[in-house]
Amino acid sequence: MVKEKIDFLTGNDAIAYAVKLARVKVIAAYPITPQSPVTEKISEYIANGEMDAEFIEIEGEHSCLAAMRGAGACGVRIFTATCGPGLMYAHENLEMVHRDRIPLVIAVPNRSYSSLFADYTDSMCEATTGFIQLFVESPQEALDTTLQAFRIAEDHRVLMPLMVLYDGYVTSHTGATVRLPSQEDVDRFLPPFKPYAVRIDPSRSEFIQWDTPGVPLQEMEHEQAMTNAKEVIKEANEEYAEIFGRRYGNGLIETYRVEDAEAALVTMASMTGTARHVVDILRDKGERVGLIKLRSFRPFPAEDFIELQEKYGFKALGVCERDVTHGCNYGEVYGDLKASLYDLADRPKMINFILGLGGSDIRVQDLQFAYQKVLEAARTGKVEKQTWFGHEIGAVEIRLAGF
Amino acid sequence: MSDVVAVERVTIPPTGACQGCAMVLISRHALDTLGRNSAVIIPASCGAWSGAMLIDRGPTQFPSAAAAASGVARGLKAAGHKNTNVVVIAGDGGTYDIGLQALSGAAERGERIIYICQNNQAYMNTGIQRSGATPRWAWTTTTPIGSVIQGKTVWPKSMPEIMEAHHIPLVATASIHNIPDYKRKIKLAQRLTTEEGKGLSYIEVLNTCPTGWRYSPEKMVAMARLAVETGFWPVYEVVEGKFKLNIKPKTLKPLKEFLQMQGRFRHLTDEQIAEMERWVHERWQRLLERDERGY
Repeated sequence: MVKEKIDFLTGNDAIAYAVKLARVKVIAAYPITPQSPVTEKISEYIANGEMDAEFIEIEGEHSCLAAMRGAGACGVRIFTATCGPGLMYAHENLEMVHRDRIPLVIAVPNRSYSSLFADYTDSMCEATTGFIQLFVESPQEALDTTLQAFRIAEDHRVLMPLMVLYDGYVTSHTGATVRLPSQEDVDRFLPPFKPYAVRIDPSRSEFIQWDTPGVPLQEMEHEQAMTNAKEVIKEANEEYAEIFGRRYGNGLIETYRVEDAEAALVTMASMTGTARHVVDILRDKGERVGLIKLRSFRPFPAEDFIELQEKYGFKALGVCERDVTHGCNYGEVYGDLKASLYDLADRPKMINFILGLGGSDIRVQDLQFAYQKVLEAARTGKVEKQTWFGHEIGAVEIRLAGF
Repeated sequence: MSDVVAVERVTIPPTGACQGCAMVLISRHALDTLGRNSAVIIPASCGAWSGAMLIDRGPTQFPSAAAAASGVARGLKAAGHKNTNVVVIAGDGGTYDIGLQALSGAAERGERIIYICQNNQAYMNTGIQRSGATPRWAWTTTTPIGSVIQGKTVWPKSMPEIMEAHHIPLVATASIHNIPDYKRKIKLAQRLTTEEGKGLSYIEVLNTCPTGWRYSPEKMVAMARLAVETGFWPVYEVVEGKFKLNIKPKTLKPLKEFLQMQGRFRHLTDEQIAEMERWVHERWQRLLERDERGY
């Protein structure tokens, strides 16, 4: 029996608590909204002697990731958190952290560049940097995933940095009931970090030459690590479930009422809760709809989606996302999912729903509308163009004329 | 008098440096003096390609040397390594310009870092573009001698003074024509920063650069000596707030002697040389007064 206590925590506080439980050794952070409460809480833990760690109150995010890279090279467990413009500012060193195979865990309460509120403008910019990206739905999942994150990132088959992504304000600042594991149980799940190789170690007596493989080889190694990560994420999810009894689908995706569904939506992070509710409403009305929550955006679980499609033969899929790739008029997930399913003979019709940008609300009626669209596509076989929520195209013209 | 005794070589010749490059002396004497229990961080600079050493080299990007060093220092502490020297060897571009924010942050936080700026007064590694340390009127590839504008139009900033404003235990300048003085300062930095944990030490050395300054390589040490003797490169230290001018010529040699040896100043008019000399002498006067006061 695991010992757990129940508390009412925000997503940010849940992550800070997980970092304490993970016995992280070095933390660097620079404040940015809505991330700041994570590092404030960790500072309090250290100031009160509840946590034994080095805290670098760094002067900016670019430096922050450099410091994490430096500390990571010494072979200790490390953590940071940032979001929005801060994440983008850190881009150069995010790239270097992955190239050095530093298993950094970074919490990102997703934030738009142009506003303080949730969308995936920030982390989608980093989709190619080699970070594992896990989107989480609730403060509970944020805590559980942060603990799993160290296991995944530090696994010698992976050695890749990892982002825990959750919706700014919606999850970062909203309180929820969270089950807090005991230190003893966490120590069982997450033993001290055993580095694969320590890059900076003054106690060793001989010079160690670090090989720099050619770029193609290095890129192939990283791709192999990301492929390995799919298995490791699943394992971490299962082992966590064995100890704590909480499981998030197979770790990569989670399905809800997909059996016999003719149409389904793919959602990420906090909108998933609303979508589950809408599925229940529609199922009560006899509509055959289901839901797939995407938890691991990087690595992208193409095989899992193919397997689902082969098993259930959805007529139509809708992808709901808080991001857009300008010039393509669709979101990153839509593009990746469509590419993944393209080679199937029995592939579904697909619609992209771009919603919740800049933190705008994702309401029950929005997702009901999305389900109605995918059901129409499933029945008629006809697909409308991508659907934007929140604005009429005419409104854009009026706004630009106002400049 | 030097208190430095024989040291083990931890740097391995040869290097990839240009002939007559002062950086080779700057890096070698610093690292050999500090010894094996060290980690060295080198951002993008001539030094990034300068050869092998028997100590660990840490990772960094151009703007991040002091930040990466902060992480290394804290990481080593967390890993249980006591009294390891964490040394940065950066160029003037990575110190005066793109790296200034990270350096200022690390200095303010009191990180245990020995920061050495090897100042060759331009971005020599990328092809002699101007930096915040380039002297006024100097030719560089981005301050060319044109028909309208000739050379850099503004004075360089004073990095040691900027570092002094951070209230760190050691700010010093040094010259490669006086290695004992330089090594003494490295030892001092080791004591104050690594052993006593009093914060970041900053040592800036003039890196005479035959390639960028346009003079022949064999004159490297003579050039460094002349820079000091003309007052162009004053050698001093500020140790825990106490100021000392380490090399004090009775009279300064004419600046023209130093300038006319270099292609980068070949286009200067007599008026410009006179104005530059006035600038150099005013600074020298201020330093003499500080030396008298002792702070």
